[in-house]
Parts: sequence; C-alpha cells; structure tokens
Amino acid sequence: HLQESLPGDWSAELVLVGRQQDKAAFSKLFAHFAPRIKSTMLRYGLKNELAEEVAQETFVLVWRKASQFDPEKAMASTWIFTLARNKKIDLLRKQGRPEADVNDPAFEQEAEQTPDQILTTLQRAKAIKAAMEKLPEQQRIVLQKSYFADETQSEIAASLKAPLGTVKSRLRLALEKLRTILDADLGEGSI
Amino acid sequence: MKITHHITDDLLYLYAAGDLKFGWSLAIATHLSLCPSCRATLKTYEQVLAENLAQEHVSEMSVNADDVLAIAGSQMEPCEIAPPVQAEKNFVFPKPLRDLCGDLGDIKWSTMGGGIKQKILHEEDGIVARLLYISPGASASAHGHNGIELTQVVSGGFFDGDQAFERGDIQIVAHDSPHQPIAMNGEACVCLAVTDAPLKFRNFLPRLFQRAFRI
Ligand SMILES: [Zn+2]
Ligand SMILES: [Zn+2]
Repeated sequence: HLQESLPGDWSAELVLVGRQQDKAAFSKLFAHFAPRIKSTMLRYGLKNELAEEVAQETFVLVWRKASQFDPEKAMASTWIFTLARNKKIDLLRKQGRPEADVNDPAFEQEAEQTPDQILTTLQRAKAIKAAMEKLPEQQRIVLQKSYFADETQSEIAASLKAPLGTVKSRLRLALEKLRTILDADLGEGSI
Repeated sequence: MKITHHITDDLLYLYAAGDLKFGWSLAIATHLSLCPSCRATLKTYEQVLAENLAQEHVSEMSVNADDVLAIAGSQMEPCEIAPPVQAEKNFVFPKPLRDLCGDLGDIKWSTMGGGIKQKILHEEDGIVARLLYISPGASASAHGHNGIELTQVVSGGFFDGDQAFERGDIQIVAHDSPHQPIAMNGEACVCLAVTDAPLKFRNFLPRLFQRAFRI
C-alpha cells in the first residue's frame, strides 16, 4: 500500500523495521530523526544530556514498538514525534500526561463518515504540509518554535509556574490561519 | 451527545506538544475522550509538530543506531491486538478522570454550602483540579478570575449568561469579568474545574469560604 509517498515520509522504513526487524532501515530512521529530536528538546530548554536521552530512549521504543505502526493510520514522522513527546513528559514529570483511551467504555466513538469525508492519511498529510508552506513566515516560526523557545531562561522559569497565563496570542493567530488554509483546501470543518 | 463548546486551538496545540501541566492536561484529556472532533484536530496538530521536526537542525549525537540497538536488546513488542471494548459497565467519568479518583459513585465530597460540593483531585504549582457537584438549580457564587479556568462538564449541565454547557462541553474563561454558573434543573451538574489562581469573589461570605476550601 505504500506505492505513493511524500518526500520525507519514512513509513516504508518504519514498516520494514516492524515487519522484518530491518536494522538498516532502523539506522536510516535514527540518522534522520534522532539528531532532530535532540535539537527540538534543546530548544524546549532541556540540558544536553537529557535532550540526548530523550532522543535515544525514543529510538529504543521505535525498535520495540515498530510492529504496532500502521501506515494507514499515521505518518511515520507523527508516530515517532508522539513517542518523543511522551518520553520527554516521562523524564520531566513525576506524573505522566492524562490521555484519552480508545478502549475506555466511556469513550465517545466517532460518527460514521461518508466515503467522501474519509481522507487517507497521505491526503491529509499532503494538505497539512502544503498549508504549512502557505503560512506567512512569521506564523510558521511561531508553530515551529517550542512554546517557550523565544523566552530567556529566567522567563521560562517564571512562566512555567503559570504557563497558560502567558499563552501567546501569536500562537492563536497562527493556528487560526492554518485552519483557514486547511478548510479551504480540504473543505469546511475537516480538521 | 452534541458538543458545542470545544477546546481552543492554542490549548490543543500546547497539549499536542506536551507543554501543559497535569491539571490542564486532565481537563483536555477528559474532553478528548468525549469529543471526536477535537481528537481529529489534535491529530492534525501532532502532524504539524512532526512536520516541524523535518525543519529542525541536526544536533551531534554521542550514540549511534547500533548503540541504541544494543540497549533495546532483542525485545520487540508483539503487534498489539486491541481488546474488545467492554461495555458491560457504564461509567460516568472517562478514563483520565477514573484513573485519578474512580467513578462518580466513589467520590467522597466536601460540602461547601448552597447545594455545592467539591473534591480536590490534584494540585501542582498553584494549578488546582477539582470536581464540583452543583445540585439541580443551584448556583455557584459570582466570581471573576485572576488566571484561567477550564470547566469540563461530565454530568448534567449548567447555564452561564445566555450559554448552556452540558456533558462533553468545556468552558474556558480567561477574562476578568465576573460570571455565575447555574446548574440546570433535573439532575445535578458534575464538572471538573481547573484553575491556576484563586478566584475573585464579589461577596464577602465566599471570601471567608475561600480560605477554608482553597478556591
Ligand atoms: Zn471538542
Ligand atoms: Zn469561573
């Protein structure tokens, strides 16, 4: 099912790791993502060793969990990003982050979608990538930087106590713009 | 269930990035359990954040792929087959809340007077997550905010001004102007309220309560 792919999509490699324990494919994924995950963590304000630990531990999980990756449901980059994000939370917080669980009896399942409402993962990914490229540069930067990235260390320390009080209107504007572009490309209410 | 009040995009993006503290995340995860529409938006934001990785510069790593393989060992988890959803039990609280305090029937409430009860679930760095029980038709004291308040309805509903909030809906208040939620008639309203600063009450009496109940 992977005849078509996006440039920079790593689903084929991740599937090879999951199905065949392919170490060469694993090395390629590591070479691309691990240094970039580390950079992101450094920008979140993590110390060098901790940033490296997040990147390393993320890839321990990539190896162990690769067979659970389903290219129909997620892009490889998104799947790896969520592992890195959760690893960062594990290492920084004494309590993990609450998450909705699809197997929870109280979980509200999605309504049945009509065939033309169903977009493939690849179609959505393409639209999101295109929408990001259409964003004005200033707004793209807001989304690319971590929330605290442009603040000094002491401001980070202060704002961590009440991060929501400092939610930037710039972030909201960037997301509104992104939503407008995606709605135009994919149809109203598609995100 | 028809949800009309959703999580704002900025909060959802910060949740996707893993930037929010436990209390905020608890309210958001509870909403996400009940709201397919916000879950779809969350997926989009996770993809945007993953897309950002590609733009990231390349840091020097002191370990390579082989080192990581040595650490990971030969352990690979088998492909997970999702267990069938067990619907024999009807929970009121979605799992993120149940993990913390059990279901609605398990709560040991503290009475605050005026038909209102509370249970503090979590406190960290001034962010307090509490369950509120408002008897049918009872009203909370009018108050303003120093910070932000997220109120996720899990049972029943309330009116605030000309707006109605029912199971699934989340109210996000980040302004100073006072408001006063009033529970709908019929069944009690149970909601998860998360705040990062003490509320500002207009009346004298609630200010006395404030110290006692840390609201
Ligand atoms: Zn929603
Ligand atoms: Zn309020």
